[in-house]
Order: sequence, then C-alpha cells, then structure tokens
Amino acid sequence: MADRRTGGLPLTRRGLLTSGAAAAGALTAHAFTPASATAQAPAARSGTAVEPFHGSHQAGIATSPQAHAVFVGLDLRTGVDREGLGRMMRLLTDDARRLAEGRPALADTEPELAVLPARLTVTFGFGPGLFEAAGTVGLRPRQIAPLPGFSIDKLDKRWSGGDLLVQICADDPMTVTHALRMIVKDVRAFTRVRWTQRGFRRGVGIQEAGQTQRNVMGQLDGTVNPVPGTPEFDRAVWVREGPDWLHGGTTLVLRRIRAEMETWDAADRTAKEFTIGRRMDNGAPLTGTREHDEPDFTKLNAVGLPAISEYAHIRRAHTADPALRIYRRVYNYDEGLSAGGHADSGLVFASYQADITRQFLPVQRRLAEVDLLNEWTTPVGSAVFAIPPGCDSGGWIGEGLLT
Amino acid sequence: MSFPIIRHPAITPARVRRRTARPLRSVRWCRMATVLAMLACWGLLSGLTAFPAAAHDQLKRSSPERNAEISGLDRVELEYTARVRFPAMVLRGPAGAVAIGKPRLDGAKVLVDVTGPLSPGRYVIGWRVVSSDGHPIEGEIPFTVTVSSTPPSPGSPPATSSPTASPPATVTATTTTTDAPSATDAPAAGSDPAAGSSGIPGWLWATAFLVAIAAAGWVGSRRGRRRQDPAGPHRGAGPPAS
Repeated sequence: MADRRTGGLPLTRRGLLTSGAAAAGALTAHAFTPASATAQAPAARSGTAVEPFHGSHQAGIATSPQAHAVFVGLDLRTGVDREGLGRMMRLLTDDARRLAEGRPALADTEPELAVLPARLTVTFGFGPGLFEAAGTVGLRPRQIAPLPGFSIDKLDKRWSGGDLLVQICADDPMTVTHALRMIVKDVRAFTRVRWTQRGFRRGVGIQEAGQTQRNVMGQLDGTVNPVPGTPEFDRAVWVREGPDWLHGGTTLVLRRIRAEMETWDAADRTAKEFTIGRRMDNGAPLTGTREHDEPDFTKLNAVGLPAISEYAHIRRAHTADPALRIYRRVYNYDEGLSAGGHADSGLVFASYQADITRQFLPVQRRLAEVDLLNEWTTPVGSAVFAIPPGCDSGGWIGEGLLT
Repeated sequence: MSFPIIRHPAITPARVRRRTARPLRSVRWCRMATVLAMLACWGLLSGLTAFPAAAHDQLKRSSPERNAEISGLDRVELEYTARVRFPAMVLRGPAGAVAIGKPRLDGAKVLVDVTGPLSPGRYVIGWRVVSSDGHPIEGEIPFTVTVSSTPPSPGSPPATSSPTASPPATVTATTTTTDAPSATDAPAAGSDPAAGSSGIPGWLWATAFLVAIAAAGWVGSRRGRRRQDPAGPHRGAGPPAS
C-alpha cells in the first residue's frame, strides 16, 4: 500500500521512510526528482478524474468499469411513501452529484476524502417493493420482479431482493468507502440495509483499458459484450418501451455467483477449456486462435463431434442477435477464508439490459438447463432493479416516477 | 518417542526424536529421496507422454465391440468405469452420418438407439462423455455390418467401396483431449497398432532413472547441509511419521 503520489518511485519511498515525515518526503521527492513529475502524473490523473454525473442515462453503466464497487441493497422502512421517497432521492442525487464532481457532500464530516473522486459514479435502482411503497404499482414494468427460480440456484436471502439499490463505483477503494458512508448516512432514515456486496476488478493502469479482464476462476470474462458508444449497446441496454418514466433507463439483474474454487482448481486445463469452449491462456474459442475470433459452433473434431461442446458455456450463453445480448459489468468478490483455508469468492454479476424477459431470461434458462460450467458455479444471490434514466443539473434521479 | 531426553524445555518431542534417530536417518533419507525423485520423474513423464491420468474415467466395454462384425444394430451401449455425464455420440457409415437417437445415461452406461436399419458396410461410432472429474474423454469404435439375410449388392464388397468411411482402427485422441488410451481402451485395443501411447518408450525410462539418481544425490547433499542448519526441519522434507 504505497502512497499513491509516490507509487513507482523507490527512491521517494525510501525518502519517506527515512525522513519520518510523509509530507516532507513527498515534497523532497517533488523538489529533487525531476522524473517524479512524469511518473506521478498518471496516479494524480486517476485520482482527480471525474465521470460526468448529468446526462440522459445514469452514470455507472456505460462508464468504463472502475476498479472497485460496492452494491448496497436497501429495504424501505414502513411508512415511507412517495413523498418520502422523493425527499430521499433528492438528497441522494445531491450527494451523488457532489461526490462525483469531487466536492464534499452536504454536511460531509470528512470533506477531505471527497476531493479525489477517482471516476466515482453512484447509480440508483428501484426494486419491486419500491413501487408499492410509492403507490405506483401501475408504473412498475412487469419485468421488475424477482426472477423465476432456476434449478441451479441456491439463493440466500442475505444476497437477494431489495427495494432500493445503490451502486457505487470508483477507481479507488477509499473513495468508494467515503461515498458509501455519505450515502448511507442520508438514506438510513428511510431504509434498512439488506445486503452489501463489494467487488473489484484489476487496478487502474494494470492492463490496457478495454482489454477483457479475467475473473477469479482465471477465465477471460466478457469477451462478447456490447461495446458502450455503439448502436448495438444502445439498443441492448437502454429502455425504449414500457412506462415512459423508465425510457433512457435500463434494468439490472444482480446475481451473486459463487465460484467453487476447490473443485475448479482440481479440474485440469483440458476440462476447463472444454467447459468454457475457450482457451484459458488467450480466451480464443476452441475453433480459433485469437480472443475475438468468432466461435465456429458447427466445426467438428476428428471424431465427428462438435469442437465446441454442445454443453460448453459459450455455446449455451451465445446470443446471435447483438440487440438481444446482455451487457455484463462484472466484478469479482473475495471474502474471508474459512478456517480450513477455503475461498469464498466469485462474481458480483451485474447484467444490464433493456428487457430482462427478452434478453436475460432466455440465456439464464439455457444455462440453467445445461451448462458444463454449472458444476463450478452456484448462484447464491439474485436481485432485480429498474435503473431510472439520468437527470440534468436541476433534476433528480427517479423524478419521472416519484413526482 | 522412546527416548524422551529433555535437554531443553524448548525442544519439542519431534525434534528429540530426530536427534536420537540420527544414525539411521541419512540412509532412510537417501531412500526416501530416491523414491520421491522417481515419483517426480514419473509425474513429469506422464505429462510428456499424455499418459492416462488415473482420475479420468475410461470406456470399459462397448456393444458393438470394437471391430465387431455384426448383422444389425438396434442400440449402442457404452459402459464406463464410473458414472459419466454429458454423453454425445455420432455414427458415421458408408453414406456419411447416420441418424441415431439421443444418448441417455443409465449409471455408468450410455445408451443410444439406432433408429433405422444399417446397410452393410463399415461404420464408426464417435463418442464423448465428461468424466467425473470434469475431463472430457472421447474415442471411436469401428465396426462392420455384414451382409446377413439380404443378398449382397453385386460386385461391391462393403469394406472397400465407401470413400466416406473412416479408415478402420485409426483411433487417435483429438486435440480436445489428452486421453488417447480412452480411445483405445475398448476390448480390442490390445491388437491395435495405432494405439500410440499405450507404453512409455525405453529411452524415457532410462532418462527418468538417471534424473532420479541425480535428484537423489542432490536431495541428499541438501539434507547434509541442512543438518547444520540450526533453523531445524523444513517443510516438505520432514521425517516420515514413525
């Protein structure tokens, strides 16, 4: 955990240690190490980088995934009605706006922690129960309901459901923690916390932006994903049908998927690649040589059987029509070890789509029916939220539904 | 344990045992090291030669048997050494792929119905299952449907007239697996000259032996050095439980 401003400068770090005063050390480094200017620039840039809060869509979806995230599921306290929800969302919008811009929240008790937003985004979602509390059941899209049960599910209530979602993402865990603290302090008069799910991806600068990342199971995860900024992405993600208030918004299916690391680690490479249908090293389909080669599902091997198994994950998950694909913005989780040293890790699988029924459910049904990967993954949590559209500087999130 | 000489309160019984057993230890260690080194070589060679991992299930028997000559076929039955999953099967004949039923599982068996009558000729069953350890295994079973009650078609011996049929008994593991033996473990495999990995070449054994000797010497010398190391035993080479 090197000081961000001195990262990558061993001389500076040594200076810090010997000087005994961090500030003095940093100043010394600035004064006497010309190279530090260039070396420190990226770190400083990622600390002060800002993702715009305002827009027709909420930030945190098309936003290039930040390194750290926390998803919080909240249940409304009894008696919180539409008027109360409006007050709550005005407060939360104000918090999110300020923090995203690197300004302290109102009555921020640690205002210094707000100055490095590190691409902070705070995204809000409405679960099925919120519509009842608001008296707007008629405006609830039918797809905003708990998913049907799947045979592979081993859902735990502690990771499932929720009336309100707050998704906080940033490239710095301290920023996430501070934003969470600010939001939760404002929201707890209205809600109780149902669950908290933290997730992580590779750190900033660890690999090229846009490169597919690996999950805790070592697979390149997200090779086939709509690309933000393309018409395919817009069609697949942003809602255009149903109740007006959700137009420009999206839906989130948040699944917590435990990776059965003990047995996965026991599987050999052939088994893993056969299971996924891709090579482990570069993510190429078993019928190709490069990650983004189109899988050839018709290709047969020497025995006359499909080179990519009928039951391989990529075949079962494949959706030919780009407009019907889901957008995965996946984080990894890695919680405490058991006394025996067994991992509790997996994916906080965040899937955004315009239409859960037409996009998410068909894939999920196919995977639940048969997918070799099911042997090593277990869905333990599931929640569904409507993600309202964004707002401008005078507006607030959820205005279209709650006013 | 039989000589609990407590020289110092900090000395654990285990360490006492090692100290009192010193005269025998080097001999025992050399033997141990040799065995370990040979085991290591075995593991290395297994990887190099795609030797069957004992963990994967295998085909135990099949009906039809490999290279069988039969007059007709209603059902293919494959029996494995353990319960397998995700069966897949194709049947290729003189005229290309033959439509067959969907494979179904019955314990360690995979059953597939052959729906239509098979015309005389050479056929190959291609099969794949997922072993209980997640590893896919696959193989081929060639067989011949002989002319039975129906008269043979004039001037066309079944075996040679079909360009689409696979060469008989040329069974190799495909790129998706490293389990060549699983493709050759049908009862007739012993006579199959194409079973490429049924044994380890002699030169590999010789190399293994030499490496084992060298490794034993190396481990032994390290032990000698460590004996003077006051830090005590190191993990992974501790004495065997007595």
